[in-house]
Amino acid sequence: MRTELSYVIGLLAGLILVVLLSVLFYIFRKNKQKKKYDERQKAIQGVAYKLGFFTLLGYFLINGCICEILKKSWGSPMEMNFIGVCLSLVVFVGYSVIKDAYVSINQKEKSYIISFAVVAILNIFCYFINSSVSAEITNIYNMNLICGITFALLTVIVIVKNIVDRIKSKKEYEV
Amino acid sequence: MKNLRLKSARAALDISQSRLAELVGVSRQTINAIEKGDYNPTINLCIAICKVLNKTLDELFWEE
Repeated sequence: MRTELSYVIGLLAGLILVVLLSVLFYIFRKNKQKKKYDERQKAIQGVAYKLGFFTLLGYFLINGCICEILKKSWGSPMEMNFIGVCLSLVVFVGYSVIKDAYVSINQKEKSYIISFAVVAILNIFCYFINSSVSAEITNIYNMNLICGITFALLTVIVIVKNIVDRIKSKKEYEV
Repeated sequence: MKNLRLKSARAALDISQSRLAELVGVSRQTINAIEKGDYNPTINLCIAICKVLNKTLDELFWEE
């Protein structure tokens, strides 16, 4: 019980810190340029949002059926919901990246690769550190693992897309 | 359907896809998609492209 309470407090403190830092970063950012998406990118993002939404719906439906058949939950409510959110996030970002609609006109892919990779590594690191420190095997650290795997997957998608684009641009003749 | 007239108009002015995209205010991939026929631009984008390439809408975007 004490472990769970300290975890919740730590989680809340972490969330508040992230929100505060994000707000400060937004206010004091040097480059005040807004993200600029062209019409094709906005249209594709609309489709990506739709796909992500239906992925989430589908996941909740399937998960509900599985839990009903098994007559018990296979994970904690937070874990099960978080996996659904991460799945829909992967679908949205993955589709947008593949269709060249995720990175805005005034941004570069490198910044996203680095951000995703850092988030993935930090979360996976936290999971292994917390799991090794804690004598009890609990599922409260699984959120870090789920988040880490999600962002690792997104990093791979962006890197592969980058490599494929470079190969394509070398083959295509551009005036 | 591929838009070869757009591609040839761009090539005639010796402008790359990236440069045309920059001048028009869209991404390079959008110009590429228009030339390949994978995307139908809105009228505003068509007009912007025509202004940059100094062509009329009929010359670049009307069906033959």
